[in-house]
Amino acid sequence: MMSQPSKANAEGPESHDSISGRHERARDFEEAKKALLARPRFSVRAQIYLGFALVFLFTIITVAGLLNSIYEVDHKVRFLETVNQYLIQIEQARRFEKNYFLYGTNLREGLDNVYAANQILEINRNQILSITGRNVYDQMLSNLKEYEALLKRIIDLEQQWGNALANTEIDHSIDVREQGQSMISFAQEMAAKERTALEKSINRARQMHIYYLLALMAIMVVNSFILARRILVRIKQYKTFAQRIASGDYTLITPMRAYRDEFTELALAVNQMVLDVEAREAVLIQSHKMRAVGTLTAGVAHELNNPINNIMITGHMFLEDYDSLDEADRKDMMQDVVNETNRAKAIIANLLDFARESGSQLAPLDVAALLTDTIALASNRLKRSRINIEFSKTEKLPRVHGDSQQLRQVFLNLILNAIDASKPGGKISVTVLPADEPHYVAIKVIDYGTGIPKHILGSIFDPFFTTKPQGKGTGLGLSMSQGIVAKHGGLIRVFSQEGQGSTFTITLPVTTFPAEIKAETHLANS
Amino acid sequence: MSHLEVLLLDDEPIVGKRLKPALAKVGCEVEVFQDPVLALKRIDEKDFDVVVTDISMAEVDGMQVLEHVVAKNNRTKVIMITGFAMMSLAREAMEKGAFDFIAKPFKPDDLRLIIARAAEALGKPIDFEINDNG
Amino acid sequence: MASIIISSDSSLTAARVADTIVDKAGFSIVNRGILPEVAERYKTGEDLLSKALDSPSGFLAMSPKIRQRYMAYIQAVTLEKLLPDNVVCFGLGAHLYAKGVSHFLKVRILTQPEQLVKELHPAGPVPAHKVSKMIARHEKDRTRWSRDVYGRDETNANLYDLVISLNQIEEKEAVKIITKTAANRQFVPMTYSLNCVKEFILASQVRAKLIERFPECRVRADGENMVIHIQALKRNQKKYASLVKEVAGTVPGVKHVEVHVITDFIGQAVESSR
Repeated sequence: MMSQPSKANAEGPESHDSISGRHERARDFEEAKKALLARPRFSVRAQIYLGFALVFLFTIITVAGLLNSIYEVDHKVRFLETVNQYLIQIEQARRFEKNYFLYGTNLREGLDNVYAANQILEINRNQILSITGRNVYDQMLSNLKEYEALLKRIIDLEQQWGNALANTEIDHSIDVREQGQSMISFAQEMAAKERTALEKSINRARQMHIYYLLALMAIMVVNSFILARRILVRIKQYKTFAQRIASGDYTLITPMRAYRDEFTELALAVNQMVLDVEAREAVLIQSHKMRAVGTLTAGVAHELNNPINNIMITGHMFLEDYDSLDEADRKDMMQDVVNETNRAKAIIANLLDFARESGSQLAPLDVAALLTDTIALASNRLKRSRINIEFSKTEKLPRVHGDSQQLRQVFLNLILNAIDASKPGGKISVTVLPADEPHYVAIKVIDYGTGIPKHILGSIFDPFFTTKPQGKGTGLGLSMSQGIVAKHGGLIRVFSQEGQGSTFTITLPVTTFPAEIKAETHLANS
Repeated sequence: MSHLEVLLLDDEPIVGKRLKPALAKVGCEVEVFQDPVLALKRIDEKDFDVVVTDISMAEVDGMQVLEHVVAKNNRTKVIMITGFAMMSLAREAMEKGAFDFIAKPFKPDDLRLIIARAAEALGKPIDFEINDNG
Repeated sequence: MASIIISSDSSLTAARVADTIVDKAGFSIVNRGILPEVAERYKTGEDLLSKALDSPSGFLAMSPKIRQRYMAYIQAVTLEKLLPDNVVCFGLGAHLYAKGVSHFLKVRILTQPEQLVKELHPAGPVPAHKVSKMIARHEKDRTRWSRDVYGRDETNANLYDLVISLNQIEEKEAVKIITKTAANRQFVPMTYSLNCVKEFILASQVRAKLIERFPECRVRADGENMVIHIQALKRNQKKYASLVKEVAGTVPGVKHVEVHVITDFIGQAVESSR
């Protein structure tokens, strides 16, 4: 059976018109299309690209950071090397200096080392500057210069005075030693500091790798989640659309998100499909109706024979007895002719009204009157099968908003089915009454015939399902009836017991609450 | 000339109203019924020469009337009239012993002709000329 | 009493059975002896009428349209001959067009294969392996013929009230069965069935007059009133309608003519193919 058609329906007058309503539907379609396309575009493809771009950008940043930290490490290692060389030269110089004071050896070689140290500073000036800053460098340079100056003075004094001048030397030697010592400790301190900085850099690079991986994973997870959710939600949505359409609700898809994407194109295609399916269904309903008309016409032609026969007999007798008839008789006869003509006209009009292929209008309908008409339409079939029809109605039922022709077709269908199910001389009950649910009326068509076997009860509303012999039934009657009723926001239910008969119950919403239904529809869709 | 006793049964009141005088004019004594149950009762009471009955009626249909009449008095000629004429129905009626079968709409003269033939077959000719052209 | 229409896969058998019925039960016969009358009335050749009845359908054969025309002529005269009761009719295709008349007993007689082969190939003995092929071919030809002209298959048993196979029942016995059935009360003619035949005759005569000019025309009679459908282009609608009225009016017995012109050929085709 169908799922909640009462919710998924009754968009408005236009939504369930048949053939002439096509223009209005086309307009609806255009409107839906415009609304769907008016939104800014954010496609799934864009989202995928964006995700990749984000990952790529993040990777670039991370790689740059890593390269930078490698460069830094490299830089620091080189610097430490320089400091080392520098220290070696200074230490060498100090060894000469020491030897000089202890053994009186040549101090000039020590000066060479100082020059070499100076050269090292000069060559690696930029490098040292970049790490230590100008102050430190200048200090190192000035220390070195001072040391050099001290050594030079000692050498000068020695040349002037020979090895004798020990007193002055002692003063100088203290200065030189202090200076050398401070230079070494300064450089060593610096090297130690840089070594810890180097370790830090290496550590940072290591951590950066880990953080990068974690962050990358997070980004990927979030992006795929968003993407998957977006797609899955839409797929789910379209699944419900498909079910809704299958149940006969042809409400067009309207925008539900702030942006449009690939699914918008799908929505447009589905709307187009709905439109086409609807048009085709209208044709199908019409052709099915014409079949019903075909089965009725034979009966109606016969039915017409009675009034025509009355007219014929009366006419002939009127002519034959004209002279002997008095005025009252003549009037009576002509009155009969007029009445019978009207009767014939009514029979034809009822059939034509039913057969008419017209764009049906939605109007508040008196269901009881509609049923009376329908029963009249089927009356000769009933008579021929010698079936009694009992019609009962609750007085002052609210009206139903709907299409009289389509509903009549549904009722006729159920009545004809009931006739087929009944034995000759049987009985059919048709009742219209307020439904159990508020704001609905129920129409019951009850036959006391063969009943529907349990195993096929589930498929009687399926299209092309029929138990009638080939060529007798299209198998579309009930499925079409279900579609029509669903369009009216109602339901068809069946209760059947084999051998006891069947009850078909149609519930239709009454006309006083169209706004509510409409609101519900939007809720259900958005 | 003896009167031909005719029972006319049709649930259409106009048929009886107009045909009664039409048949009376050619020498038939006509009893008109609209209700087949009452008609059957009357048939039980009296032997008619001719029974004219409609086929499609509620409650009891013309075929049942035909069977009833034939079962009661084989001599009675039963003429079936129907708006639902079909070959199968016609054959069924004839098989069950109808004298004739005529489709609606018919002219009063068509029925008079048939009744005249029936009367002739009964040996009680009525005042209607059978100029056979079909 | 009833009239009997006999159809058989073998025309010789049909003729033989019909003759026996005439001899034994006092029926009169309607057979191809009426063709000269048809030819004269509708100003056509007798040979063409025979050809329309017999020659198999096919690529080079008579076109279905022409065949329908000659058959319309034959039909008009045959039905007229069927109006009186106690007639046996065969060999004129009546089983295909005389429908819905309660006093027509339609009989199909199935011949023994040997007999049929002898008839189909009178020159001499046919080898055993060719027999079934020959019969199948004959059957196919007749099916096609009846479909071409009347849109129904004459081998379909549903068309008949009685189907008798001479393989199982002897011809003598078959004749007995037929005459006995024809004597049944349900085949007694009545006002209604005679009116049906009269309407048929009228419709057939009108159609025979129209068919050369309007091969697609459909004619129905209701008492003295004719309802005629023809196909025409919209611009010719009025002209043809009045032409049809005039022609139909010349047929004796026609009082009122109603002409419907179908202008929407394609729509009609779509409708009818549904």
